[in-house]
Amino acid sequence: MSKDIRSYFTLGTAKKPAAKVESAPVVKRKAVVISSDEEDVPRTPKQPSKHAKSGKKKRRISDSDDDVPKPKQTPDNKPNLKKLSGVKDKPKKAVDVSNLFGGEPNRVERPKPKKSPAKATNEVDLLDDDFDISIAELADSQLEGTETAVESKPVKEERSRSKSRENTPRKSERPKKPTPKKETPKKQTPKKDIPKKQTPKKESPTVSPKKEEGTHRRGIKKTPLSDLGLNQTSEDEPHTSPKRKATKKADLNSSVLSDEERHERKQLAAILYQKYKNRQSVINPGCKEVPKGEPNCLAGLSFLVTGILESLEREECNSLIKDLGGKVSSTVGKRLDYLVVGEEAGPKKLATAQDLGIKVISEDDLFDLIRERSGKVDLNKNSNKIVPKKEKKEKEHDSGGGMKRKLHEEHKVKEEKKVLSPPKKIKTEYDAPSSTESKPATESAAKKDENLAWVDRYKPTSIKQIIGQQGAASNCVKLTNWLSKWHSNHDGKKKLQRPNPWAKNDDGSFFKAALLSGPPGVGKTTTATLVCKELSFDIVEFNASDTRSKKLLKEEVSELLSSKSLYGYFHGDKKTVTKNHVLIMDEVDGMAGNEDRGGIQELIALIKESSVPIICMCNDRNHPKMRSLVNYCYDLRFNKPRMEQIKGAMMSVCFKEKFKIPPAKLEEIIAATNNDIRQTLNHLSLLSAGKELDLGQREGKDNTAKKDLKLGPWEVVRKVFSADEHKNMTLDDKADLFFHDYSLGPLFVQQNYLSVLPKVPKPQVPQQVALAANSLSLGDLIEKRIRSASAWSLLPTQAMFSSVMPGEYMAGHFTGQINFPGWLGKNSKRTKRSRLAQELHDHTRVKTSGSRLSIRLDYAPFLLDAIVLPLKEKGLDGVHDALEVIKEYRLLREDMESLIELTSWPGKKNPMDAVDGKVKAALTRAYNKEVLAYTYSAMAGVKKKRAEQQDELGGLEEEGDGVFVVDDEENEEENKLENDALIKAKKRPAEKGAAKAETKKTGAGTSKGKAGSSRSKK
Amino acid sequence: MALWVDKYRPRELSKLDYHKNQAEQLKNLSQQGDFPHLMFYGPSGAGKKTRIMCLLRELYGTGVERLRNETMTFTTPSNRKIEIMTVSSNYHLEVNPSDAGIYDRVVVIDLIKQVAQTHQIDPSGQHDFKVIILSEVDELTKDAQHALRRTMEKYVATCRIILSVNSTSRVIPAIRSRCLGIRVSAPKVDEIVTILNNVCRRESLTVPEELARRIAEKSERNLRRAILMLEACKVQQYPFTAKQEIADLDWQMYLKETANQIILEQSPSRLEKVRERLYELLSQGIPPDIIFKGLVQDLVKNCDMSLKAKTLEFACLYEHRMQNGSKHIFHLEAFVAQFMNIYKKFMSETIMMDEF
Repeated sequence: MSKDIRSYFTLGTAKKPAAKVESAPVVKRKAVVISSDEEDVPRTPKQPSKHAKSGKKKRRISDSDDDVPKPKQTPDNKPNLKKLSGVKDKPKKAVDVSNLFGGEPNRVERPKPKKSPAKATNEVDLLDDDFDISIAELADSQLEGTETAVESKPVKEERSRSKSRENTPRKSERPKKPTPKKETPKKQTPKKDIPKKQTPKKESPTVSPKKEEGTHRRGIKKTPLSDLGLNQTSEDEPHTSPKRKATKKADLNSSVLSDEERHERKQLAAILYQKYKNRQSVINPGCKEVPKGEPNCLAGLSFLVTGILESLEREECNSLIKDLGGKVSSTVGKRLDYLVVGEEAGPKKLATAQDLGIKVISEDDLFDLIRERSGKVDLNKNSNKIVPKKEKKEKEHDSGGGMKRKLHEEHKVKEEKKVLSPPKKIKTEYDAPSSTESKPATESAAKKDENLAWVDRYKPTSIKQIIGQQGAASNCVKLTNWLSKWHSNHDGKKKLQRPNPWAKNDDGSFFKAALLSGPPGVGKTTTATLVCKELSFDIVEFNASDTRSKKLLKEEVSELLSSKSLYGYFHGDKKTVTKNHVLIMDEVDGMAGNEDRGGIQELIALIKESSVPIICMCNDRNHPKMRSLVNYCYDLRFNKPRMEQIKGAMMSVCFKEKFKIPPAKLEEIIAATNNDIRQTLNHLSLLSAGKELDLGQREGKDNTAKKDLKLGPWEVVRKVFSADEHKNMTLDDKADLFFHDYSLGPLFVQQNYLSVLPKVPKPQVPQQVALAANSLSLGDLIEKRIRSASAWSLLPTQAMFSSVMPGEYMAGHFTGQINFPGWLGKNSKRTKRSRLAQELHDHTRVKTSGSRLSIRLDYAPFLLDAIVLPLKEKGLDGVHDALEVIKEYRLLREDMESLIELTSWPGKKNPMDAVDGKVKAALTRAYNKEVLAYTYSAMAGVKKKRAEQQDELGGLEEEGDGVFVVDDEENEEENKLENDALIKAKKRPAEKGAAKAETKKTGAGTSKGKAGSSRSKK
Repeated sequence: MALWVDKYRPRELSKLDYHKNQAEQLKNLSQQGDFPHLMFYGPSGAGKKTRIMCLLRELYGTGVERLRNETMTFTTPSNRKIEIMTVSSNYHLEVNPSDAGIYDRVVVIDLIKQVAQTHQIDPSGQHDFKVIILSEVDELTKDAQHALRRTMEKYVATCRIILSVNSTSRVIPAIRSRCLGIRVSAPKVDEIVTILNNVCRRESLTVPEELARRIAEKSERNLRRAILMLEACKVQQYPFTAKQEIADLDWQMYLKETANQIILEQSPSRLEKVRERLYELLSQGIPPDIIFKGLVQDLVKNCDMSLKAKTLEFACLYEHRMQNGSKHIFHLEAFVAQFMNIYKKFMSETIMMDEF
């Protein structure tokens, strides 16, 4: 759920502005501006790119409008800004629009400034209103989050602005270029205010204005001054604004006055600008420990922050207050309880506060207050409220510290965590939270967490946290080594040897790809991504949800891999362009069907040519589909972590979640999920959801939560006969075993039931065996029925006879190993032999009278003897006799082998063994010379031969114990001679030969007369 | 240098050695000029095919002996190509549709129709019908047999069909009623002995009467087998002696040994070994019913009367199941298991009895 919502928002932020553009043309420009900002925000801390800049400038213009009007500056200010932005008209129009929206309730104090701030607010409002609606539906808590999120965007703008300002000073010949730190903060304030305004509208309109004003004033003061230094040329435009602002405060007026003399103005501007720049940067960011107060400890109190606090940005401070239930108001009013004052606090605020008798406190006081009210001096570090990590992250985004600071912090964080967080991390941080989603972040880290599934929440963030991947020989380490050496291994200089497949310590340097295989939920993907992260590789991932056909792979991936990543560039990494990609092909065993046709082949081709490491992942590396791929991959097999390993991690998760579960229970769950970490977590989260359930109730549930395992036939047959397993199995459970594979299952049962020692008195064993055999035989009847009549509804019946009943009769334990059913091998051997027999029958049919069966049972041995005996006894002299028989029965050379196979029995020698090799060769020669091809010899030629040989091989493989002895060397030699000579050379002659043979035959027969004529007719 | 079986096969009805009466009738039938469809039935090695060929020769003259192999191709409805080897002369066509396995129906429909539809062209032929010889019709599926019966009626003008069948019980009644059944029973032992003597005479050998008789008995009145055995004996040892050993066929020996092993020990592990042997027999293409028969015959020899009855009962039960089932080994094994069970029980009981 959480995810959905988030995604909704992320989408929303991106799209809404565009939508607005269409709907409300008036707002167009602003909307566009904003959108551009937003786009930029997630990605670009320090965008040098012009496009980005311009976007910001535009934004700035609108802001500057805010700023400008308030002060009623001299015209100079605006021109200056506009120049920078290069858009002159906008401000005017913007003003108008703002006026339209100007009727905001927030502006309590200052009517004039309203307009300008209004603009700003409106802009944001446009966005935020949309958000707000959805947000409101969500939760109040998140509202605040949105603020910060929005704030975070401005921050970046500010950065760019600050840059632009850097420029401005130069132009205006300002004496000093501000240090980065200082620059950024100055501008932040105005923008920050904007976001704040938004939220208040939703919640309590009255609160926010104060602050705005404060900030605005400040901003106003300074901006004008800074602007003073800029050209006067564009004065005309700004004039409008000054009029509006005419009623403004004295200081502002003074600034206006200062226009009069350029030099003075310049100097003044310089000073003010400098001041402005220095303004509001946090004096010593992070110097104080931010207290983690109890939630709502500030409930009922309202605060206003003014000036520069010592350790917190104003935003941070505000969000802190809000987190703790306090209100942040924007104006000093009667309802205000505390005025938090920093350096350079707004004098007016101070004054009013004094007038109204509001407590003025410092940052430290605020912290003390928090501590006090939360009732602790030392705060529980584990409490989720202001979780260190998350907060820090937020700060990274939200803090007004500007880009550099952010980066700085980030680095710090990284170091602290010892997590190398290149691309991905940044990505997640920017992508997810910076768009609207960061609401939960500010509110509380816990909230954010709650929106994540446990599986994601407790996802390992560094490779050290991966369960079961510690240790020097772990897959993780291997993968790291492989990946880190990849580029040096494959720079084309090294000649690498294909490693011996049995070598144990192979580091995979030969391979350009790695194949991680293992059952689901053991952390393959996690390992791969974390390792890549650790080594600062950019990840390009394709998983089963992507179409991975040959074509697509070729086009997309190769393109991706050949290009350089600008990722780091956009994210302010020092090394702007990374070349280190890694292609992760997740779930490669899912590459199947029409969609991904040819995917594996293409993947292999890709691997061969790849200039980047490729990591493939699959569940079953023995799958036929994977066979070809395996040869090109560094094989890393993931095993299921042990129960203890999972248990430890799970216990800590439970602790973090404050969910108590007895260790025994946990073990049960782990066992039930078959050591699947992910599954275990899911189960835990389910159980934790129903905390009120007492443990007794849960007893029953765990069994139902048991993971449905797909068992292999070996496992199934073991369970079928295991008396121990039977104890807690119902009849249905036993029948279910059959359904794991109902075609292979019965065969397994039949093959193995004899190696079970049933738990019965010994004399009874034969009876049990007989009973089991009987039910198996009945099961076969049913199967026949099922298969021939498609009576699949009989399957459960077959389950009884073929699996359950034998299992019951023979329940006990295995004495031997479980074997693969021999039936399959024997059956294929049988069909092969019957095919041979049929061929033989076909060939001899002209001469013999018997059926196929009689050929096998009666003829074959005698025929073979008639051929072989002369050879055996007379050697070379016997060749003629043997050949005569062969001719007489119109046998082909390969029929000899068929005959031998058909007459072979275990323990019987191959009759050809006794024949001298020379004699055999002589026979073959004589055969080739004399024997003429028959009609069938062409067909029976090479093709069939090959098919047969393959068959034979297949048969051998399957049986394991090949019964027939084939004299390979000699036979092969002979076969080749015969085949090649006959078939290739004499395709044409073959037919003539056949005709000749025919005539000869007839000649040999009783009548010679009509042979010729009838033949020709046919 | 053909084997004796083929060398001395009679080619004319008049030269047949036994069932001479029947031969005479066949001759009359052929001379009549027209005859119905025929069905020759009888055990293997009795001379069905020999008689058919003799009859054809009687009909068409020696032209039928100019045989040739032909391969015909058919396409099944599922677009699978089947090749069938046929033997034909100008006057007849011999085919074994069961070669096509489960697609035999296609063969029956396509091939037979195709041949039957064409008229005999050769004017010199004495009859204006062709003959189609279908062998092993009892192996045909029911579908194919049903397909056959209409064909037989429809094309009776252009062709006669001669069926060669081992057992009529597996031919559907509809076909049986359309044919003139001609039973070719196995030759009697005496007849075989005479034939063996004849063969020897033509080979200018002499065979002792006793040996010939022994061979005849051993061959189970299968003339083909008898002659083959005779030749084998000659190769083994000549001149013949009366007590000369007659080599068993390999599979028979193997089967006997299997039965022997069952008698020797009854245990699951032995059953497993027996299973291996049964597999071997099956994969050698020995028909399972022959295996059943051989086993039972040998097992029963070692049984007490009461046990015999039970054994036969089980044998019947499981053979029946085997015919209906798909995996022969299951039933063979079940039979063996049952036999082991009752045999063991019987043995332990008798031992106990003895002890008393």
